[in-house]
Formats: sequence, C-alpha cells, structure tokens
Amino acid sequence: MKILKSYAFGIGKATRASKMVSLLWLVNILFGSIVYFLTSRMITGAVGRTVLAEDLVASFDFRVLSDVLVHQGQEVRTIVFAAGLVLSAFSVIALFLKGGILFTLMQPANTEAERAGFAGTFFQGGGKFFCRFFRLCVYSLLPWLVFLLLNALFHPLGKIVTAGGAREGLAVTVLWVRIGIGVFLFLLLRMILDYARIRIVVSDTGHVFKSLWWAVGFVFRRFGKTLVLYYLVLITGAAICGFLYILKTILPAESLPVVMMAFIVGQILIAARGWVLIFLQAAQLKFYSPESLGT
Amino acid sequence: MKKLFCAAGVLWLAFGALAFGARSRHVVDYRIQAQLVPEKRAVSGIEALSWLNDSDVPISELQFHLYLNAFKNNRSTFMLESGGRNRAFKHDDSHWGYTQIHGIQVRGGADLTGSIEYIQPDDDNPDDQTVMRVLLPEPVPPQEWITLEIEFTAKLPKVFSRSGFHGDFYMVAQWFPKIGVLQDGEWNCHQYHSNSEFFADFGVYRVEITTPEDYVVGATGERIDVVDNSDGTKTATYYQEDVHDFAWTACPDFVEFREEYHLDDPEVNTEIILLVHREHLKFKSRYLSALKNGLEFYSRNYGPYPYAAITLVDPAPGAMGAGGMEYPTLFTSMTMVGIPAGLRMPEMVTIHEFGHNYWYGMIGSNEFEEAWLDEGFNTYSEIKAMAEYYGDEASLIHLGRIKISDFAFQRFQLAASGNLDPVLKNSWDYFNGGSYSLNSYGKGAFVLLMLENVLGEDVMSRVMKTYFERWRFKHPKTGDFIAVAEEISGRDLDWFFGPLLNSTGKLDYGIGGLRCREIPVRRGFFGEPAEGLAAAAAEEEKVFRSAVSVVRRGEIVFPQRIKVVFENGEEIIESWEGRERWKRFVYRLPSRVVSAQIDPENKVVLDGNLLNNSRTIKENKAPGFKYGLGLMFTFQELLSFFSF
Repeated sequence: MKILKSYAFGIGKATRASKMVSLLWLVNILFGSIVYFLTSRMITGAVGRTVLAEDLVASFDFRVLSDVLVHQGQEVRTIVFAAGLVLSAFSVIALFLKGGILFTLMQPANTEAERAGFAGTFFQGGGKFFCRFFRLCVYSLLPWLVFLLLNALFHPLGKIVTAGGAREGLAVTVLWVRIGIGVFLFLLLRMILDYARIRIVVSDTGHVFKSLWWAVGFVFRRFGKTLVLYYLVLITGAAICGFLYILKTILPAESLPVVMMAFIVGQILIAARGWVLIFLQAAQLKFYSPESLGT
Repeated sequence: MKKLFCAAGVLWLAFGALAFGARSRHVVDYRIQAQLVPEKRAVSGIEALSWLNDSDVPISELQFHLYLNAFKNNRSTFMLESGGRNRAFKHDDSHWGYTQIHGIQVRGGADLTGSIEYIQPDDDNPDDQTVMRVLLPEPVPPQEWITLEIEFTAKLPKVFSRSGFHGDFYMVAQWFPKIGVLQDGEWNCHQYHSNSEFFADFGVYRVEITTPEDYVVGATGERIDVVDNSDGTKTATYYQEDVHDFAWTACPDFVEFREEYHLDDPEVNTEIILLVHREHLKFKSRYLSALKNGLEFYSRNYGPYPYAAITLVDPAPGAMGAGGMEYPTLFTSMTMVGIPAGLRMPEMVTIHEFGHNYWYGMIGSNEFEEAWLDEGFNTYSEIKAMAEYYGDEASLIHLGRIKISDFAFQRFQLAASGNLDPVLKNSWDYFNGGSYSLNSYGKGAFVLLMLENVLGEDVMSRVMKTYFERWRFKHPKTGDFIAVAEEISGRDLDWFFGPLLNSTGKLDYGIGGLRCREIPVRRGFFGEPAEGLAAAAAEEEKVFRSAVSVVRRGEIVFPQRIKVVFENGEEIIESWEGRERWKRFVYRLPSRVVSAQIDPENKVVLDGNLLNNSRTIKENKAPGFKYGLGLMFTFQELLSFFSF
C-alpha cells in the first residue's frame, strides 16, 4: 500500500513539476548542443561543399563517414575531448540539480519557500546541498569499488563454469547472467545513494557518511519494498521512453523535415527522462518520509 | 637397384596420372600413416614420400619444411617475429609444438638421419628449425624419382596459429615433413614466418588416419575407407590427387553433415561435408548456404570446382586461432554463439576460405613471396561474391540502419592505414603484420577492382577465367597474370600494375578549386584607344567564367575523368592524364558552374580520400544538421544517464 501511495505521489508530483522538467531539459540540451555545434561544423566542413552531401542526407554511407573519421582525425579528437569535458562538467552540475529537485519536492504547499517561486527554491536547494552531495559522491567511490570487486569475482567463476569458454553456449548465458547481476547491483547502489541524498535533504544534516551508511541499512531493512518501488518507477519510465524511442527510430530520417520531426521526438524523450527522474525522486522521498510530505 | 626402382616408380606414377586424368604435374606422392595420440597431444607418423626431380640438373640434397618447429621454442623465427602472438591469439608456453624426425632413409637404401641439418635460408637465425636439409649419397638425376621413408612425431601446440589442439579438438595442419619446391634447379624452401603462408608442389596424397573411435574426422580429399580397429581406435583413409597439402581435423564434438551439390552450368558435382561443433549447430544452415554460394560463384566466374568433396570445419569454441584457414578441399570457418544474422562474419569467412581452393589451392602461387596472388585475388572474389549474394550495400553488416558492405569495410581499413610497403614483397619483409595484411589482402583486391573498372567487367571476367584455366595446378607469378591481362585486353598495362604493385605512394586526386565569376559588361578600351571606349551592349547575354582546378595530391599517377555540371543542367566530361600536379579547366558559358567531380563513377577505388573528389559552389548544411543532431541526441541520452 505504501509502495502504491509513493508511486502515485511520485507521478502526481512529477506531472505537476513542468517547470522542473523544462529546466532539466534545458540544461541537458544546452550541454548537448556543444556536441551538436562541433559535429555539425566538422561534417559541414568535410562534405558540405561536395556532391556527397545530398546522398549522405538520404542514407547512411559508411564509405563517406569512414573517410570523415580518417581524414578529419583532428576534429574528431577535438569532439571526443570536448564531449569528455562536457560530461565531466555535467556530472558535477547533476549534483546541483539533484539538490534542487529534492529540495523543491519536499516543500509543502503554501510555504514561504513555495511562495518564493520555483526558481528561487530550486537554486536554493541546489546550492545548499551541492557540497554535501559532492562529498557523498566521493564517499560513494567505496561502494563502487565493492561493486567492481564483486563484478570481477564473477569472472573466474564464469571461466570455471564454462571450462575456459569451451562451452560457448553456456559462456554466453553466463555473460548475460553477469550483465544482469551487474545491472542489478549498479541500480541497487544508485538507489542507496538516492536514499542517502534524501536523508541529507530531509534531515538537513551535514553527516554525509553517516547518511550513506544509514541509507544502506534503510534499503536492506526494506529490501523488497524499496526494490519494488524503484523497479515500478523504472518500468514505467522505460515504457514511456521506449515508446518515444521506437517512434523516433521508425521515422525514416531521409529528408530534413523528417530529421526535424525525429529531433523533436528525441527532445520529448529527453524531457520524459527528466520527468522520470523527478517521479523517482518524489516516489522515494514519499516512501522515506510520508509524514513530512502529506498525501 | 635404386635406378630400377626409380624407373618403375616413374612408370607407375605416369601411368596412374594418365589413367586417372591427372590435372596437375605430379611431383610428389605422399603415403602417410598417422596416429593421433590424444594423451600426448601428438601425431605419430610414417611417411613414404616419392619425389620427382622435375629439373634438368641432378639434385644431391633435399630440403623439407618442418613447420611445427616454429612452435618449438621462443627463439624460432616465427616466435621472434610474432612475439608469440598471431591473429590476436597468444602462444601457451606450456604446450610447445614440434616435428621430431626419428628416422629418414631412402627406400631400400641409405639411412639419411645422420645428415639432417637445419638451415635458415631467410634470416640465418640459428635457433630456427623450420627448414631441414638432408644430403643424398647419390644425386637424383633429372626427371627421376626418389622415395624416402620418414618416421616422425608431430607434437601439437595449443592452437593459436592455425595448427594445434584445444581440449579434444585437433587441427592437424602443416604437420608432416614436407618437401620444398625445386625451381630452376634451386630449392624454394622458406622458413615459417609470422607473416607467411605456404608453397608446395602438386601431387598425390594417401593418408591413413587413426584416432580414438569416438572422434569425428575430416581431411583433405575423399574418405575411401574406414576400418574399426579392435583396440578402441578406427582408421580412416583419405585420398586426393592434384593438391599440394594435406590437413585433417578430429574432435568427438563434431556433428557431420553431408550433402551432394550439383551445378549444371558449369557442371559441378561434389559432396559438401560440414563438421560443425555441437556448440554451433544453429549455424549449420548459415555455413551451408554460404558454402553453396561460394561453390556457385567461383565455379561460374572462374571455373568448375573439380574435386569430389569439400569439407568445412567449424573449430571448437576457444580454438578460433585455427579458424579462417584454407587447405586443399578443406577449410576452417569460424563463428561464435550469439552472432546475429545481420553480422555476416561466418558467411564472409566461409566464402573467403572456400575461395582459397581457387586462389592458393588450384592456382598454386607462392604465398611466401607473392601473397597478393592468393589473398588479394581471393579478397577481390570475396567482395564480389558477398555483394552478389548479400546485397551491394550491406553485404557484411546489416544491423538496423547500419549497413556496411564488405567493399566499404575493406576500403576503411585501407584508408586508415599507412603506406609503408608495396604490394609485391616477401611476406616476412613487410613492416609488420598489419602492413602485410593491408597490402596482400585489401590493396591487392582493390588493384583488381580498379583493373576491372579500367578494362570493363566483361574483359575482366575473361581475364580471370583465362588466368585460372591457364594456370590452375601450376605455380604462376605476378608476371604471368599481367601477361594474361594484357593478352586478353589487348592493352599494355605496365602503367597500371607498375605503380600499384611496386610503389608505396598514395593515390589521391581531388578538386582543388571551383570558381565562377560573371564576366562583366564591356568597359574600357577593347580596340585601339583612338577608336574610343567600348559601348555597353544594350542586351548583352550574361557570360560566366567557370574554373575547375584538379589536383594530384598523391604520388601515383592515374588517368582521371572529371564531370563538370552547370546551372542549366549541362554536363561536361573532361579527361586528364593526371601527370601534372594540377590542371585547370576554364569555361566561358552563359550558365554558372554548379559542381565538379573527379572520378564521378567511383572507378578509382584506391583513391584515398573521397571527401576531396568533388566540390560544389553552394554549401549544403543538411548532413551536418542531420548527423549533428543524431550525435547530439546520443550525447543527451548519456547526460540523462548521468543525471539519474
């Protein structure tokens, strides 16, 4: 019951948080557009004034793209480097965004914070918890290390079971099992970090490591419930995003108007992912602290 | 007595060859009894080798390949060159491989064991024992036979480079003492190198293979007999004429499939034998279909497949080092559980390795010295076969919207690699393994594709057929192919083959500049100043000066065609010998130039850069927009993942 209430609360909150969804999308597209400008400039520079350009719009031509990779090596390296930088910067910004999301979500209606307006609340939360989330990020290296260690342990085990790969069918099955276990552990760790952040925000505590440790206990004491809630939200998100992704993929991007349409669907998909993020945070927040949020 | 035996041998072999319609000149006749000893990872063998001195000089020494000795120690030439790695697989130091000669003697005559000596004709490496020399007490006269009896053990390495074992899978290749090729009175018997394959004379092989009875066996040639021994083993006998090597495989986990294959035009009747490992049974139909495609393509385009059997071996999982290798009438393909239908690696390898029955098997060129004659020719054939059966656009990969042809993939490898070696070179003398592969496979194939574009498909088809018909079961060299190409096309092709086979230069032509200016209305003096200023014509037609500059950016000279397109739809085709570094074509026409393109039909497939082959006046930003947005979306998804 508590799970369903949290789930419904999450959907409600996320659906009403159109400004937050828009902000997340805006930040995403701002960072993403750096890659667009660099790539677009490189491709236009390489083929824009050639007869290959028209064909390249109509269909994927590996010969041309491979020549772009080979002969525009410096530009390709610049794009990869820039993308790495942007990604690193975004990872840090994401900590700010998460602070903003949680702080905004936990504001009860008709409070001073709410009256201050969305932007004020969001940025206040982002700024307030940024350093704590950053510390949490550093502390989380330890459980990530455990995660990698566990993953590495499966490798020799897999080799024994598959007789060094000689039982190839089994080796493929074992590989899928390993991937499945890896994804499960990965998501579990992300869920624990979510609850650690929720605790930090709700309790407004500076004891970051203690919160992480507490989140581990919280999740494992309610292992089934936390997991069910997490996967319910993920499955809902996957269904929505999956639908949009299929829609984007089936559009035959062979002319500019269709390319534009595919782009718009793609951006709706990115916004939907932002919506799912808010949905997840809200649902988990409700699950953690039903009293402080009302219904 | 010995001469009497030799004369009898000559008569018997000559009679046999005539009676059974031999296609090749039989220089060797191997009769081998081989027993697989799984617990020792070894094959014990007794070999009776009859060899014809097909030269006009007496021969007093014999040279043999002992290829397995490449894996005998870490200082063999193969190991030093490869660092113990080949084809992405690593040698296992706990399983060395070697050929041990227990005895060698002339049948009914002298024991030669004491005269065994290892020689290193290529690099003087004293630790390399892949070539053995024995001295004969009496020379073998010209056109006479000698028969030797050799007792040996072939200890197999753990498979990483063609031969060896993996679990209970055995790929027994390059395993017996194999005599070199006597050419112009001298031995052509190279050491086993990291980047080399093989060369041998045609002849007859009759091999009895004894294995544990639960092993499924496949080998070169036809299985003519199987006997169940009473000791838990069985002996299968294989026989094949007109081949220059013999390889076999054994594994209890093979499932054998046999199917008759018939083709009417040209007439082909053979038996397809698939030895598919139990783990890969799902790939049976893909293998079978690809092999049938190969049989049809090569038979129709070059000549009918002449042997009674063709065996496809699917190496055991983990034994990929044995995969993708050719032997006469038997080859290894490769696959992995989970390879989707759109990734046509098993099909490509099957067609390629089967194709080696033509370029290597029947056209017995020297793989040590002119690797392009087998790998280049076969890659050319493979690219065409893959396009014919799996489509021009996506012959290699067709996964969703990603379509990559075999041609495009080969071209990418060529474009992405440096030009450090020419095509024609001893295979072990290349800069590295990559350069060897690049030149002998990809560049060799592209030379032939360019030749096809120069001569036309029809002429090229006749060139290839004639070359195959004329040189099958012989040892042609590059010059022999060029001679056929020149004869059939009626053209001197030195200009073509010279730079493409011998030069390391790049081939890259492009449009250096494209300009268009309106020629202004008349102003100033056009006649004698005394006649006064020119008067502007009332309705003078606009005329544009369009200039197209073509440039040669590489060292290789190749004739080019240039297509110039104007705003009114007019097209002009220009020809350029391509010798100068650049040339300008200028037009004064009432229409503006729109675009210029060098090699508009994409015939010069070795041109290293497509991007500079054309130029347009107007910039088209659409591809930048499309692919920029595509990459941006992928990146945005990555960012979303990080924000979760």
